[in-house]
Amino acid sequence: MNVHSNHMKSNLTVQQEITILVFRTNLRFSKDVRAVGARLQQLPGIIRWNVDRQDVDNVLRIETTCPDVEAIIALVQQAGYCCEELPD
Amino acid sequence: MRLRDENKKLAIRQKAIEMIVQSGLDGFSMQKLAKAAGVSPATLYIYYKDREDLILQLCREVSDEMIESSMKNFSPDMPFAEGLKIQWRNRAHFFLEHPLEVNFIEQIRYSPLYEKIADHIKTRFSSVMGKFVHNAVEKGELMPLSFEVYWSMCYAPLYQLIKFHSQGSYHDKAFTLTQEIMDQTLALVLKAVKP
Repeated sequence: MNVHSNHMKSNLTVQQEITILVFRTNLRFSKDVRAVGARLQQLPGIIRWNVDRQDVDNVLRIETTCPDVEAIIALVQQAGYCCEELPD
Repeated sequence: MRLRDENKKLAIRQKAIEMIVQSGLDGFSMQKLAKAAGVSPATLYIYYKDREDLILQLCREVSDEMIESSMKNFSPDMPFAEGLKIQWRNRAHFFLEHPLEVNFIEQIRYSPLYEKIADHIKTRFSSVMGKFVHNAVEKGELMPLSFEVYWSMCYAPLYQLIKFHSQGSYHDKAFTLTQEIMDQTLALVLKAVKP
């Protein structure tokens, strides 16, 4: 919800757009996922995230209202892992 | 957010089912699927959370369609002979029209993933089919039997005929399942399970 909604028509709901971001990583084990997960919680706007450890790309999938690709890549790399955005 | 596109989703579904039927679950990867379906791996992850989510969602869809088609014109309150005839017809129809989907479900059935959707499949189907059997026994149209004996008597013959139809029988490589053969077999089945 928009914090300024009281200035708008009362029947108008403002929905923030959710973006899905996907990254190729080397998060192979649950300890890797836990290490990155703890840091991800610090980023604003993250609704849910998961790592597809059953697939070759170990895709990190993030649903967020604050799609800051660079911040996410930096965060995963600082934790000591590879991370690159998968092109559309 | 990238828009969902139903055609794209259908292409993904079709390719995924083909690939899993042809080369099994082990060799199945999101990257190979993306390539085969002509979409980017990123697109796959818009629709599906991960590889397992994709397989389970497809399995749910296909089994819902299977159940839906077997329930066409069917009611558990029907006389047993009539209800079983409709079940046979509906199931034969689905198996012959959608061999790929049927193969896909078979692949999943013998994988550890099946446990995760077994309840979903059982809930609806088993309650209706259970009621049908229960009614038939109450009305004296069917012997009380254990599930395994009931199924081996009432459905296994149909699935064997379907198998002969798609793979050929021992005697006739070009065996074709006709309505006549189905009716003949069903009449024998009904005779055998009548109290």
